[in-house]
Amino acid sequence: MINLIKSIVDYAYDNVPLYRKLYSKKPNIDSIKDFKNLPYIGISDFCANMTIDSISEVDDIIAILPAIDNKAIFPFPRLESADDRDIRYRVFYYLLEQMDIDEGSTFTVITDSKHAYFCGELVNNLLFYQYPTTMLFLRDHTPDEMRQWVNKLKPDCLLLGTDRMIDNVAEWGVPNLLTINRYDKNLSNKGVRHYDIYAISEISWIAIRIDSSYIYPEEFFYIESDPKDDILVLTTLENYLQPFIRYKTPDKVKMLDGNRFQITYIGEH
Amino acid sequence: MILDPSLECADQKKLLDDLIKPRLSSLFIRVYDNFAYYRWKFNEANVDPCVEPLDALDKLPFMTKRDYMMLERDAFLQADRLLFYLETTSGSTGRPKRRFQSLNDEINELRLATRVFAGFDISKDDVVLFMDVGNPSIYIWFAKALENLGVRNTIYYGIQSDFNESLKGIIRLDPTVICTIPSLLSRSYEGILHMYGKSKGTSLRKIIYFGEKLSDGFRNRLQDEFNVEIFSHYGGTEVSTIGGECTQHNGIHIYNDANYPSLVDTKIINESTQEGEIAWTTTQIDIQPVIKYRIGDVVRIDYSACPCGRTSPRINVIGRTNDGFSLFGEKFYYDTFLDTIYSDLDEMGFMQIILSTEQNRDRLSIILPDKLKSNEKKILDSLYHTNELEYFLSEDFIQIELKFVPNDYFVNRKIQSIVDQRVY
Repeated sequence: MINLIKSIVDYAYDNVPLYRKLYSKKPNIDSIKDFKNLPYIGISDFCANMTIDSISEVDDIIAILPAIDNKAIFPFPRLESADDRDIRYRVFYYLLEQMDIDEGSTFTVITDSKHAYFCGELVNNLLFYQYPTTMLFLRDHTPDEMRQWVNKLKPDCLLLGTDRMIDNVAEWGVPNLLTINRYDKNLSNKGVRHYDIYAISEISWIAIRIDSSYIYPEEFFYIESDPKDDILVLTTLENYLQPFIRYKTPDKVKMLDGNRFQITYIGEH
Repeated sequence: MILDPSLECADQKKLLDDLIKPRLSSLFIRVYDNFAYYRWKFNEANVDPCVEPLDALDKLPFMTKRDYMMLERDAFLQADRLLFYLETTSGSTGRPKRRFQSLNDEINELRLATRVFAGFDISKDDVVLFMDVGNPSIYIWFAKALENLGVRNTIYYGIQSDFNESLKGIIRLDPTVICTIPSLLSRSYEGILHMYGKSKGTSLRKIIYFGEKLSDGFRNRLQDEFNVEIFSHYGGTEVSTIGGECTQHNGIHIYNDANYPSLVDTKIINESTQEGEIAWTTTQIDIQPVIKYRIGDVVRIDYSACPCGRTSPRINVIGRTNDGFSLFGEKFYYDTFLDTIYSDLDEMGFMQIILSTEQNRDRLSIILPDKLKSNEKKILDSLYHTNELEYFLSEDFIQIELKFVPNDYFVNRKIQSIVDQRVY
């Protein structure tokens, strides 16, 4: 782990202007203790700089992950190199592996125009891993109308990519429900498995809630919490185009043993 | 339906003077200030960006795909935190061409797409099903355009390599409109016919296709067998939506207030019709606009009035310049393959691409000189790792093979660089 951390910190200092500004000299990382002496970085640091200062090389950009919620203005998009995109796919596969579903299970995604681009990327990932997937666009449909569409498709998993509340969705007969940053205990107490993906627009999907805690792939993220305010602090270990090192998210967590945490407060994403 | 008669039915001369020329002037001044590439080209052609815009346009050179890549860095810098999305397509140098988009681009392009979709006369009660094999991003955009028109039910349906199995769910959704690419229609034809034969009494009324050319024969067959009306949506990654057919089906209406056409080597057919390779100038693209950009289509352009009431010119795509082809709507270029194959071999050489269809799969045969046979594994490995090909190959949508021929095959015969034997 410490080698991964050292590698990304060294690379960021050498190649990403934002980190060169932030650290007064090249950090010497030999231990987690050294790493934890690095300053936190926040959204304001990114907003105070040009986007080009947060990346290592413009020529390497081959994708932009759309924001979860397509607001008129969002702080900055997640920019990806080909390697970063591969890693995002691998993280997604890790999250799918944690779910109790068979290979080739069918998915239906319900989305709206605010969340459609982000959900489109989820659909892309699901199809890539050979999960047959359909996406329905929610407009002024009543829950009953939407239920009728879902019944026609009879998916094994229903992904709710919308912030609209859908009444009685747990009673639609779909055995697995998936949400994004929206765990709702009412969705899992009716014989339905409810999974919640923890995602941040600028970093992508990170963890999935299984039972009472979120589990994340340690090979890609180093996660800690700020002891002063319990804010989740995240370091991307393999994203070299636009690294995030000790990035303070808007969310509060309780860290658990191993690669697990509980979210105690979810901020705005 | 004509969404914006003030633009779409306007007198063309008045539209040119009142809207198109000011937009071209504004574009020229903007790009001269913001792009090193355009500054170089304006200076080289001795064109002042403030002069009469049609004169300037006439003097400026045509842009190629290689030129396009020179815009990327400046476009990225300009967009900064307004960066919204990135479209990529197969590049001519082995790496993808990139179009950075701002939120303004999204809104402007959505406006135009809404006008184009209005031309397809889709009603609010239609159920529109988008059918494709991969990334649904373009359909999200289509769905948003349809949402602007009040259409409630839009569905993206991901098709996997087992076409017939994948298609089974469609019948339960009973769409009235299917929007897809011709190659997918061709491969799923039997399956759809099974579901949508005339006697089945389904609701399908329209098919909208895009991304590839649809042959007249296959179009007629679809119309007859499915009893549907067929519409073409026309555009490209670098230029976004250009236009679409109206219910008169006499060509693709191009909306020249947003995308202004020029022809390379214009051939006059009659007083209202011309022919040539089309090049576009995009006046409504914010971050990465193009001027006289050749997208590789040869068209016949008709300036006569259309009975639908629109005054905008109409085009018919009559061919492609022989430097590219499409696989499932994704554009690929000859140079991409040439560069990929020869990049590690420290030499440049000959190659021919033959496209065919076998058992519903596109087969890509790459003909190379015998002397490269010892590098077969290395070449295949490079091709398997070409960004846009990787997904199609891994999902078994296409097959690829190398064929080695005597070295003099390329010397002794005048051969086409791309031979497309697929039929759809």
